[in-house]
Amino acid sequence: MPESLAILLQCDYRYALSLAHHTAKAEDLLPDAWVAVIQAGGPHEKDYLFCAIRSRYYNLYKRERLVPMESLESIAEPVHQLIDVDYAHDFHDPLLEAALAQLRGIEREVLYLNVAEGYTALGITTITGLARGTVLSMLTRTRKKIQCYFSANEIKVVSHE
Amino acid sequence: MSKNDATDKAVNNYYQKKTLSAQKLQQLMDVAPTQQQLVENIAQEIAINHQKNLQVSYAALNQVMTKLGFRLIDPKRLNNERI
Repeated sequence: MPESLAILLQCDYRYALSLAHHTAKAEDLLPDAWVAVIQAGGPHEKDYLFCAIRSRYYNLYKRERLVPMESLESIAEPVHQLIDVDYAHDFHDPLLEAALAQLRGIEREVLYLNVAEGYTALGITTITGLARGTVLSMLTRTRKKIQCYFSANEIKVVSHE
Repeated sequence: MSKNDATDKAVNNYYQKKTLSAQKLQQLMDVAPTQQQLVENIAQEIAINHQKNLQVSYAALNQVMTKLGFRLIDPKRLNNERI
């Protein structure tokens, strides 16, 4: 039990981190969510705990909208030409950290659930309440945003030389 | 490897490296069972009072409490343990 609890807590932490992208905020979300689940007599299951964490996150940080609106300009194709980046080797953590920071909470959340937890688009809909089509398009756009961030950063490095 | 696969792999690696510190993990592990124990104790107390007042059988009450997600200890077992 303690080992499985530890694994569950680490998963909870990573999920909270995907939402908040802030270590202290992510750590603060966990005890609140756990106590709420225990008091409600809820199951100690990943999906249920994720929902509890999510609920607390959006209650605490209401300024980040649950269903964000995005201007057409921001999702338009980047004006700069994408350059070839060796993606097998060029994802350095500090740059990836910055790329993730520029995403919205919901984008990181959806990407995290898919990539790190292995949830399908349908599974993500049950946690986030988003439509399946929205999840799929958000995944595509989010990946592209990260790739664009890396490409743009490469261009900046070149132009400074 | 495609761009998307590489992106996914990098993001996954990034998050897998993020872990709670041992101290924080221990704090949370202490909180969870303590709170669980507290809630179960309260539930046990309510259940026993309920049984005393309404003269409900332990079996019937246990069935209800199990459905609600609580483990109900047989009062006879509690008495034996006290002895």
